[in-house]
Amino acid sequence: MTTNGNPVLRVEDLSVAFKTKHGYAEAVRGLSYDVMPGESVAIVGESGSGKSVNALALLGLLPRTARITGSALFEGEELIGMDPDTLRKIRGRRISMIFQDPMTAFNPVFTIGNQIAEIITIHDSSVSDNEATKRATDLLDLVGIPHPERRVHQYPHEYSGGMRQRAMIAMAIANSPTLLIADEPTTALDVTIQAQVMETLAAAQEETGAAMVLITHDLGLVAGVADRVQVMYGGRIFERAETRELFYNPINPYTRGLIQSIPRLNEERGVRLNPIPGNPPSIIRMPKGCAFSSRCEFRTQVCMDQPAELEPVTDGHWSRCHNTATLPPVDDPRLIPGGAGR
Amino acid sequence: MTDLAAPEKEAVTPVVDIGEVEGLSEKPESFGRQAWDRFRRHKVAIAGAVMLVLIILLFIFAPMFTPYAPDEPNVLERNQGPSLNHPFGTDDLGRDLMARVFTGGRVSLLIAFVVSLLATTLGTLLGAIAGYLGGFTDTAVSQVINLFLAVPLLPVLLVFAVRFGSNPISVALLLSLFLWIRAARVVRGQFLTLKSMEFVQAARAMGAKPMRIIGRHVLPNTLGPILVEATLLAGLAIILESTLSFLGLGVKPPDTSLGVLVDEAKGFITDRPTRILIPGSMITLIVLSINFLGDGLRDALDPTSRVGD
Repeated sequence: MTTNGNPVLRVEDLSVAFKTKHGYAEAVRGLSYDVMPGESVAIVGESGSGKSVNALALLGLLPRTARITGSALFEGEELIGMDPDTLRKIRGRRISMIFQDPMTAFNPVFTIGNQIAEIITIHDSSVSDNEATKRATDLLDLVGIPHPERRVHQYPHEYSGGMRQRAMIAMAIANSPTLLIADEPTTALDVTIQAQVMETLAAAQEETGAAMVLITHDLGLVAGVADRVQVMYGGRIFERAETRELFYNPINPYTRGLIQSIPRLNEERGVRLNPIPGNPPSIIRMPKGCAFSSRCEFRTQVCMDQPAELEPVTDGHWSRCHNTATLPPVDDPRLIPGGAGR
Repeated sequence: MTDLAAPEKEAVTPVVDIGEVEGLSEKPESFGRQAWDRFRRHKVAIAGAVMLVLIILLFIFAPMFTPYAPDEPNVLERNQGPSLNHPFGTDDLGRDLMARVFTGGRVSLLIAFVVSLLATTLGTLLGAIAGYLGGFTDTAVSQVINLFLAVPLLPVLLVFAVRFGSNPISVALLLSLFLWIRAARVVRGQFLTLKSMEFVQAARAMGAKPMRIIGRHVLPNTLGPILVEATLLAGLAIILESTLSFLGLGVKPPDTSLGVLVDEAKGFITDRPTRILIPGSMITLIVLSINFLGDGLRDALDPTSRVGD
């Protein structure tokens, strides 16, 4: 992706903390990133890495107890601290969100068409119900729902999971947003359906020219879709690179660990998976040093004493690690996607 | 080509395709239609509904046709058993029991209806506010609910009835005052569950206003439970009204109700068992029908259950 022009979304030093009995739980800590027009940026991370909270914070969907600081400029407008009514008008029109569980993301008492039409008429009251339903039908057709003219009148429980997620995508692009946020869009689906839905998502993004933030814990999923990948850990970005670069040349020890722990089909039988030992740190009690230090095989004293900074390593490739210079080169064939498994 | 000759048939008739397989009927059915289909299969509920409609029609229209007025004494025909002249018999003042059961039944049903409407509306409103807003409001409403749950219903009703009872409307108001908490609990619970559902979150993410979220996304999903609760409250109201009246503290003569009739009959249990059995079984029949109906509604109005499941 080219980097000229202004970013659709510029997140700067975004922090989100929740008040708990044991003090503030810092879910997102000083997050900064850009999303350029039409670009797909994947945010990858384990549960609790702050990837979803980041999205909800942008849309003002977090509970009032959340303490949000920093800045998020969407097409030049500051989202953080924006008046709720103004923000509400942006949601669903200029920024759309695709939710994780298509089974529960639709209201069971209204037809799918009804619900897609609703998001159109909410934001543009001049559209008649008939017109909105017609557009809903076209949208369902666009995302590959068979017999859209009949399906549009059906209820969510008459759709399969994959179809519901397609309908969800149709709903998200209904108002041609400039930014799509997909929060674990395929996690609740069968593996066989995941690829199809990702294709639909990519096609829908292409159709509307929207930029996309794809939030997932599945590194394999981002390979075909995202232009750039940011790996999050403990509320911070640990590595950021173009997708190919990240897979072929992962720098950060955490990313390496992630890629190594992906099982491969072309591997000799009996080879054990190589998981990252230990668990992510509690967001209530973050370690003083690098958040990954306790699990890192390359850790040194400095890792435990002070947090690392996100620094550029090569052009467009950033990593947060004290030891970037001394890390061994990437020689593990497992780190090469689809590479020989020996 | 411009005439009305046979319209062009569909060019292609698709052979079986994937779209046909799952739940794709020729014509998509509306929710109401599906609910009706589910309800229809619920034999007991149908029986309850039919019985209830018959009873209501009977109570409303039959008094116009009975030859006796419900409050017309006849000293010559006192305490009679069922006969052709008086199918239900007469009471100790010689009043026709059938006419009295019908008019008394009207009053009991009226009370049931008012209580059901009032208690459900009030309960829904407060339950919804508490459930949706949460926080302090929820705590306040919940504590009031707990307070009401902690009072022994019957003794307190009796105390209040002594002060405010005696005509049907005041009895209905009194019962509503104590029964709204049932609806409120149900609705509050539903709202709590629903507001954390992803589709409510999704509606927010789509830019829906709070009132729209409540009115369109939360309330319709609680409609089933609310209706069921309204039905059950109607049954409960009849029981409680009868109890109060039986104890002489609900509806008082000259007004009458099924409970009053049972009360009046209590001195004649051995002499004329039909006098207590007829209004008594009427109460049971009505409440049973209402509860059957409620049961059927519960199943039918669950939007996620399917016909045939």
